[in-house]
Amino acid sequence: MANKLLLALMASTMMTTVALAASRDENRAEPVVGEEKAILTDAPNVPPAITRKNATKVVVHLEVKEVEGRLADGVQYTFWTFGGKVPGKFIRVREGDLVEMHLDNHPDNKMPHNIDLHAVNGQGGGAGASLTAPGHSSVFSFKATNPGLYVYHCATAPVAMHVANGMYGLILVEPKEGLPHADKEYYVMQGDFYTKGANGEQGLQPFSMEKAIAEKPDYVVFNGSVGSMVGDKAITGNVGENVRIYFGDGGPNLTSSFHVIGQIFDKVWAEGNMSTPVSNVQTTMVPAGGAAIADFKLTVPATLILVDHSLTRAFNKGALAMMKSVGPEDKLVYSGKTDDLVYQPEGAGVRVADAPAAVAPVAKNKAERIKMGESVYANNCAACHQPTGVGVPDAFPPLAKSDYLKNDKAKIIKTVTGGLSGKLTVNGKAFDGVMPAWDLPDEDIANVLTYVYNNWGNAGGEVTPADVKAHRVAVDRKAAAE
Amino acid sequence: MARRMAIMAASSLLALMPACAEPMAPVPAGAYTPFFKFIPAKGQRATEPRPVGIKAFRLDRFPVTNAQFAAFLEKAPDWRRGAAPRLFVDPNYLRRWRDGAPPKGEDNAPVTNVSWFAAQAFCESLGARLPTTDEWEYALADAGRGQAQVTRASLDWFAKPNGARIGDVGGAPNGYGVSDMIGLVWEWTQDFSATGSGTEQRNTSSKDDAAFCGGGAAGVRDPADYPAFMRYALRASLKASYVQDNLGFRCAGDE
Repeated sequence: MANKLLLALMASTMMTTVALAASRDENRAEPVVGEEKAILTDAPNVPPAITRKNATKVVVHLEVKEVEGRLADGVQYTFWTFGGKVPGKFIRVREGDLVEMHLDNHPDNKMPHNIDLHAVNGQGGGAGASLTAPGHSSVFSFKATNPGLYVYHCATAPVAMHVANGMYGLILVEPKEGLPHADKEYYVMQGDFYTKGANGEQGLQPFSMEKAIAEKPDYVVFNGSVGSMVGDKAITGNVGENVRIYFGDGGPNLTSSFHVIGQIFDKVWAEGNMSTPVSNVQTTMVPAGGAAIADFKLTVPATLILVDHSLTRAFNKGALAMMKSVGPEDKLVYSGKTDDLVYQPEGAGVRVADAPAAVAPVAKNKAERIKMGESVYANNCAACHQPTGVGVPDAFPPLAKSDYLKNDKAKIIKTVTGGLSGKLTVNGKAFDGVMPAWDLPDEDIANVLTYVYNNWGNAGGEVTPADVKAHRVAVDRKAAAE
Repeated sequence: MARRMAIMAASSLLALMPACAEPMAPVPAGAYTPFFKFIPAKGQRATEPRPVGIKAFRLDRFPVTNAQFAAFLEKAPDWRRGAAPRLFVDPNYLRRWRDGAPPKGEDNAPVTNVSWFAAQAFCESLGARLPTTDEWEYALADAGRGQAQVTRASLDWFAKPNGARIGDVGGAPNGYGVSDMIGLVWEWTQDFSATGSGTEQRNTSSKDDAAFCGGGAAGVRDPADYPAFMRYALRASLKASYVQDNLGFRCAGDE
């Protein structure tokens, strides 16, 4: 088995070496046979692999549309798009192809637009031939001489604003011999957005020039909106399948530390180059205006989380997506939690004997309970449910004005102390995640729940340590007792 | 100053009346720094944008409306949709008009889907002309008054979803008594193609085109003025026969 893998690796390395040898000149000279219309897809979908053995003329029609759409829950934005969505249509051609590009600027649009494809050698990457007024169409062609995964974008002044509004996409110039087989292929592209209102401010948000120039985005998202690939919209794969992600960074400003939580990339074609994939990568750096291809085999069931590992972008600005890996467990690869033990550092007992036991403060009344609950919340809950209890759409349910909190106290205490996972509807929105069991003292649980009940439009009331003691889910301490 | 106050008071009253009843606003002479460097004179090196002198001129207070354009077509049937030569108007000329009339209820909205040739013919029929790009930009610059608001209004307009009915003219006047330069439509200028006429907007081989260069915003007056880039880019994308859903015009005259 190991030998077989090694052979396969060697074979693919040899093939890529051959690809390198196929020079730009040879690709320029390769005869163009026939003509076809490009299959274009919206993210996260990717057009089928090319099986042709010859170069052909590929006709690409990209329609530029300025459209209002969802940036986050309750937040609308006027996106400028190649094809109606952000990111733009995925274009897939073969090394040696002659690409005839039609840029159609919809008559409803306000702006002139053009296109710069990083796969083009020529003035402006095509921008020099494609400045197009609304209601008009420009045509130019180029020979795909260099294999790779390339970003394309609008390059009309002010370039940064056209790109900030979503005008980017990917074009794959597939090597002649093709890429190694993948069972599933996905298209994910990151972009930063700058809105007049702060993150979460509702309504149609115009572009903020000041924040863009200061490079301080309100949103950093995958595929054009917060939560574009979470919950029911998560991308999927089965255990045993090889998955490939074509990842691009449109910018305009931020680079991406692309990482998948819970999954090692078996292979990465860094910067979209086709000759030298690297193995066993945790996080791959993708420049603004750059791309990478990441391959990995799903080995265990899990919800994998795609992030920009510059983590406040993932947690607070939207750069988070999910991939559901479905199939049988492999306890050897990953066991799951097998033990939950009390940890006693060496010498801990001596220290306890020396020092008076620290007495945790106890709330004397409801007001104190709320006050003390605030710090319990900040330390344990705010990271997911957010400091103001609004939660994160599609990932973490809101605690503010939450209909879930209308359940009786006992159930809420059980939820916090016993954890919760699986499908859940809160305030009409579906969630499908995991909250761990919180092994906190009765006092802390009572305080934090009282804090939550008395904030953010919830119904008020008080939870006492006695309530918690009566209803809490017992933590299995059998292992600890042994 | 008193004169300006009088104009402002008068124009705010007049805003309630049909736009065609109003005389043009007088725009005084002054110095103005173009957004980017124009072609330098022979032997001169292209440097930073320099102020140029603008002679006093007159400018329509509002964009030309559908009603005004319909009145023009009565007198000039050669410019009706279907009659106007293809050389002068592209196939979408007055595309939302039916039987020589603008869409119902839009009499006081700016006329759009008119070519540069048609706009010029309209102005000539009134003994006027289109403003030059410098004149138009000078009027918008409004001697420095309210420029933050101009930027904000531009960005808000860009964010407004397309396809909706264009609003009526009658917005608040600026210091020269000119209204609606931002927020309703783009506007033709006489020499729209004189600047950045190349289609490559980032051509670094010529400093004059550098205004449109993503990498070379160095030659412009203010590289943080995105709406100005947009206006010049829009003009650069046009040819004189082109028409657009949100492209109108206003006329100018010599003082």
